[in-house]
Amino acid sequence: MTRETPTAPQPPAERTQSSLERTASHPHLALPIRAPGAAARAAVRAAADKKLRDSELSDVAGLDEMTGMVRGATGRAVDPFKLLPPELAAAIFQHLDDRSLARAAQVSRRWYRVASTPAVWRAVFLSQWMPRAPVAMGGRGIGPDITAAQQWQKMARARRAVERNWEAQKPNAIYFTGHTDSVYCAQFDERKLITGSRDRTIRVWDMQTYRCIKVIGGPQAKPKAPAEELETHPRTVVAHPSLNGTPEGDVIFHVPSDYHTASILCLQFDDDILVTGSSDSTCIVWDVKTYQPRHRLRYHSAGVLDICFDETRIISCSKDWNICVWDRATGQLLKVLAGHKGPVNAVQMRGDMLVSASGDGYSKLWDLNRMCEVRCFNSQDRGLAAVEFSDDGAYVLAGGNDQLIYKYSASTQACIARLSGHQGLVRSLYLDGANGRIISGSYDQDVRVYSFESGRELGVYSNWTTSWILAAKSDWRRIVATSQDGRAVVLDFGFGVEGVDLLRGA
Amino acid sequence: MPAPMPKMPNKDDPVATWEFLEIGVDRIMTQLSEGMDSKTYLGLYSAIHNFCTAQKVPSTGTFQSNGTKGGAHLLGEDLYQHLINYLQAHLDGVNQKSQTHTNEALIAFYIKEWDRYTTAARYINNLFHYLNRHWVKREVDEGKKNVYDIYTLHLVRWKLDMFASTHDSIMNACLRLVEKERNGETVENMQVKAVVQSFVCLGLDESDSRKPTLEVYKDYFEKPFLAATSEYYSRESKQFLADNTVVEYMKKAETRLEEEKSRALLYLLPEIVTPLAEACESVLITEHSAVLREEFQVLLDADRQEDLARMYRLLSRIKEGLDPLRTRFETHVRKCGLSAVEKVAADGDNLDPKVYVDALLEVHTQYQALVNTAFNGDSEFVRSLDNACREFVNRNKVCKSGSTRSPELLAKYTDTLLKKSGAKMSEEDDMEKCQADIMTVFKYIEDKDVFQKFYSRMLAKRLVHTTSSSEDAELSMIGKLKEACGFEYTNKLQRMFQDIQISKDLNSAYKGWLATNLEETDLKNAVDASYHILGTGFWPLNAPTTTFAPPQIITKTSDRFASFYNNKHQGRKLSWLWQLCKGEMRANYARAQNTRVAPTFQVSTYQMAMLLLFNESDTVTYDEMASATKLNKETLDPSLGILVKARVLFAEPENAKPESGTVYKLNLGFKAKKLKINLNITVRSESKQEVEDTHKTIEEDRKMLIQSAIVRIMKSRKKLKHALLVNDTIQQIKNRFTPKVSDIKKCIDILLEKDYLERLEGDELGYLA
Amino acid sequence: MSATQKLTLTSSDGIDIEVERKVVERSVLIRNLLEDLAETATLEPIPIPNVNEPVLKKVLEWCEHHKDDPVSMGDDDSDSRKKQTDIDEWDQKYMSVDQEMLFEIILAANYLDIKALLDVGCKTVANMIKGKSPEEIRKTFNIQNDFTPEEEEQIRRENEWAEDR
Repeated sequence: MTRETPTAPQPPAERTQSSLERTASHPHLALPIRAPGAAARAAVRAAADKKLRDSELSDVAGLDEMTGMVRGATGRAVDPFKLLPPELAAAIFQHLDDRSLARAAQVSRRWYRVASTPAVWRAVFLSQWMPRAPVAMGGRGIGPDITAAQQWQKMARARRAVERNWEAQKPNAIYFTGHTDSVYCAQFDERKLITGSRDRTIRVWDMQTYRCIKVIGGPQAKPKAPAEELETHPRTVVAHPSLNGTPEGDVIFHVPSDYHTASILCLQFDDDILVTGSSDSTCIVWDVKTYQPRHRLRYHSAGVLDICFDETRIISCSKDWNICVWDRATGQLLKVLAGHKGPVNAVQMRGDMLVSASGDGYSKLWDLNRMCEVRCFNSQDRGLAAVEFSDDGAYVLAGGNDQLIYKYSASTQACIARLSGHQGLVRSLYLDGANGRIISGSYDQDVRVYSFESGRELGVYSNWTTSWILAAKSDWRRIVATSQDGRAVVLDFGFGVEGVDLLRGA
Repeated sequence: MPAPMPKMPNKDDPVATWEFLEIGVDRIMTQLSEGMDSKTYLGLYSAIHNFCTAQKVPSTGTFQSNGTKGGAHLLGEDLYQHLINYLQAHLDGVNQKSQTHTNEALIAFYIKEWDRYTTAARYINNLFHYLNRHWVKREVDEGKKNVYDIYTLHLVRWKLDMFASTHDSIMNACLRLVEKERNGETVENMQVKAVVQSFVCLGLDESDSRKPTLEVYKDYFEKPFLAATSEYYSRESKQFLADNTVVEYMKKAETRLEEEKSRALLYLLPEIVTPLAEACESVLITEHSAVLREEFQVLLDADRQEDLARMYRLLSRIKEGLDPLRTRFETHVRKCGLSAVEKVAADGDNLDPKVYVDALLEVHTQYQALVNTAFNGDSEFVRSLDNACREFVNRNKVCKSGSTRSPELLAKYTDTLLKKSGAKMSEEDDMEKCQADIMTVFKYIEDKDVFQKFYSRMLAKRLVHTTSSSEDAELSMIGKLKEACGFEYTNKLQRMFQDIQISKDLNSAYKGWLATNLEETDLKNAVDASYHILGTGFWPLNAPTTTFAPPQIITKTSDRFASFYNNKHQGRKLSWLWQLCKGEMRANYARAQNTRVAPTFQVSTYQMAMLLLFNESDTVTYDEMASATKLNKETLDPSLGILVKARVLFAEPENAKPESGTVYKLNLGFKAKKLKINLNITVRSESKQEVEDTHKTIEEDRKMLIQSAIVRIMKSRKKLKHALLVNDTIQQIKNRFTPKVSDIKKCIDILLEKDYLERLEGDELGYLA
Repeated sequence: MSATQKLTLTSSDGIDIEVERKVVERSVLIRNLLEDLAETATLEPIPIPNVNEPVLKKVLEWCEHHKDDPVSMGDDDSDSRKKQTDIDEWDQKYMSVDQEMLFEIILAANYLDIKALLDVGCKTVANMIKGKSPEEIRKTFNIQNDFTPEEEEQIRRENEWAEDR
């Protein structure tokens, strides 16, 4: 076969998620393109794939040159797998993406054989979906043990289906009912969801059965009879009724030796501890396995609005304008960081860097080694309510009263992007670095999804609750949002997807 | 060079391929020292490569759709299995041979075989690299257990086929070797090091062969080694203590600990240093710690610094080893301090402040030196020393009459030091050292406010009477107090200093003013006077306790100054502290001994007023004097007494009491021994009175201090629980004195009444701006 | 032995090629050999029994160009996402050869254990596959469709999920 008899226009020989940019800037040359940050890969890939499909119809100049060279006049085309041993055949296929690999399987019996090799699917799956950094929320979506024999092809298939549901913006809804007042904060992993509420309780929910398994609070906070039933979205699949006031509800209610006496405003947990911050001006460090308190952190003179922690430190920020740094192991106060001139609404850390957002309209970057302020980012004018830090610490996201989401470069302080769309205060921001998504929750009752890389809007979920969105977090398959209406809702893009359980972690 | 290799095998023939490889592998295992050429090397590598790549992906065969065990199969398992069989057989042989050796010979054999085997393994690993890259990697990626890269496979086989059956005898041989060394023999200890390294290499993580662990080493070397060590030293130490003194034992223990540490570094793994030290410390120190501690008091009493240091070093190695020593040390220092004070307390009220302070210092100095030399400046011992010193400084025999005696005496000592008439203090170093010493004691004083009170009174006197020996010394002392207690503590002291400085400038300005504003004759007749303007709030001085009509000449002088001053600073009120004023008068009617010069009297203004009456008449009655000067009896009588005692005046009748009816006559035949005669002598009772006054004001001041601390705290915190406020207040005031909780509560009540604070819900207090 | 020392390689067809040590050490096989064998063993020509002269020369051309690249240790990047299909410009030109040569280079890189070259080769082939329909792939590599129509349909359905619907 030669160029003289083109039967079908050849698509670009090299297909990367960046091909868009490449053909735009260098139509005749296939130049190496820097890989975009992993954070945004999946989202960008989806976009690129779509574009690619469109481009198959048009002949792109210069690309024939490339294929021509490969199938040059001097040589003849040969099936590489007639020449190469299976290990090299696999090595070639490992550079494909899931769709190309699925197509390659349909070429011939020999190709089908190579394409059915689990090791090939493993490499293709992991190169596309293995998170580069540890994930803070939910699961990784790569199965229980990547060093074990997993059904990689089926997993790719399930993962692709979940991605499609994100693109189609068609999640199913699961409602968690039980809190008797605004649910301010939430974090989840694959087993549990923990929420904190204005009703002065902390609740633990089972992420498999979607039932409440623990309510933690003072004796006064014990919920009475359930409130009226609230409206659910048409795509609801699970909505267990509240257990308040039932014998079962009494069983799961638990009064620890120490508890918050006012709203639970913020929380974070890992495998060892749960830290909560409250309007009662204190934080409590809990054992996350037993939910028994270990330390109570007292210094703030007003509500603790946000907390975060790493292996050694716990950071809290408060309405009293201060940020406190505590020793994780002992609960001792190490340092008070003062500088904001308004309530500090949110904090987030990466390594030794801490970013904070305040009602004074500034977002500040602090060095926790030197315990000092290093940068200050300005928003348009009014208060910032939420802040996020990219996994590599290179970018800061902030949102608030402006109804915008700002993306700043941490090193230059420059504002790189403003994401618009919300019609109310941006109350919650979450950056899912592994999947390149920004999740925002607003007083306009919307949860919005943006691409971290391009800033493109990937989804809008309006009125899935009946009041303000107070927190919204996500992982590879779902968004968990909490609302002023006293509920938490999971928007599950993996519900009912065949093989989705293969993707669950251990 | 060994014999050339046979011809390359057919790549499709697994039997021939392995036969070919086995010759190569065996040659590497057994005759590597004879070398190898590149042809053989590449021949072996290529044989594996060719075998593995011979098969292409088949296009035929049954088509199974989406089977679980689908995909393209890789070749290599055959070769891997053959290699295992070869290694097993090979190691069996090595194991057999090892049975014929014991003790050191066994160790030597083991090491030699280990070296040979692992060297070969590295070689074979490189030749089988193609297998590692593809077949092994694929197996591992797919989650197969018990498949290793070729080098690790060699170690795994060694562990199973060689190590498993020999490690006991090898370890025992090592332990015997080490025991010999501990007993003083010279041994081949580097052999132990080689064994250790071999054991370390065998620590393979089953889940990830690339991550070595120390498990094998810990189980089969460290554990038995530590057990043997404990046993050895447990035995030795008991025997040694039975035959020797504690001091001798401490030396022995220290030597042994050092020996073990260098042994660990020389031929064991650095990881063992800590557990080995712990094992040794446990049997050498912890086991005998009671005996050691018993010796502590003996050593302290005998001041055996070197042995104390050794004991400190030993006990500091074990957990909580020093706590009992510290308790004993603290008690000991306190006792020494108390008995030192007791010795000097015999002087009672006449106790010389210097003697007292020196007694305190001596004890501190001695034990501070001990802490630094013997206890390595250990901060915990420093704290014990501080505790002990604080105890004996604030609560001792001298303080029995009142807890404020210590600060009072310290302030007095400081005064003598800084006064002109004080002890000869020519060298600046001495002054510096004395001040440092004062600060040492000061640090321990609990009632720092009492010190401040006395100090400021005495400073005021030194300044007003210009009896300070050196301005630099004064400033340096204030500097030190400021450093110790903060700006506020010395604020007033500094202001007093400033006043004196400003007064100096004022006086020279006044001189100029006089020259331009006064008639020449007036100027000539004017009293030559100088003035101190003292800010009311800063000086611990009270208004005169008596009425007083200054003589006309003084009134004229003071009025003139007052008009100058008021002109300069309008709105300020001057009050004259007559009781502090003094002057000089020349007695023109008398002559100083052996001269023709009239002597000069140095007198208080009160005395001046009395004596000036004699310019009008040679006799003055008591009543006349009282009415002319308007002085009250309490002031008039003692001042008069001095004049009589100095024979400037005669009382008539002789020895008459100062009372109505007594007549005073000027002694015209006064014999002056010196040119200047000081009649301005403070009466003793007067100074005693002052001391009492000072003590009295302290209580009032303390209340104020507590109240201002409370206000300060509440101003910053806005809201606070009662108990927390009390706590914070104590924290704030602690460095001045230790306030009583009941006093703080009283002060809070006062502030509530005054509407500085308000009661909120739940035992909370709020601040009212 | 210095990095600029010259070594002689003998190709499978008996041609001697002189080459700088540093260049040839891109091959892990040769690097190990030089480390393992006594120095005398490397003074004589080193036989490369599996690679003929044109391919060996082509491979050495790549090694020459990349001789100063950092040596990558270990091969455990398979799990990471580093597997980009980007190929730098020089390598693209280098790989502009007919298919047979391309596969020969891949085989030689595999034999000589030159991981970076093997990767570039595999990526080049992968790029020829990416984005093509099965039929286009068959045309690219001159492959006979050997499925029965039933099989083809079954496999198409099996892999349908990967396509956008």
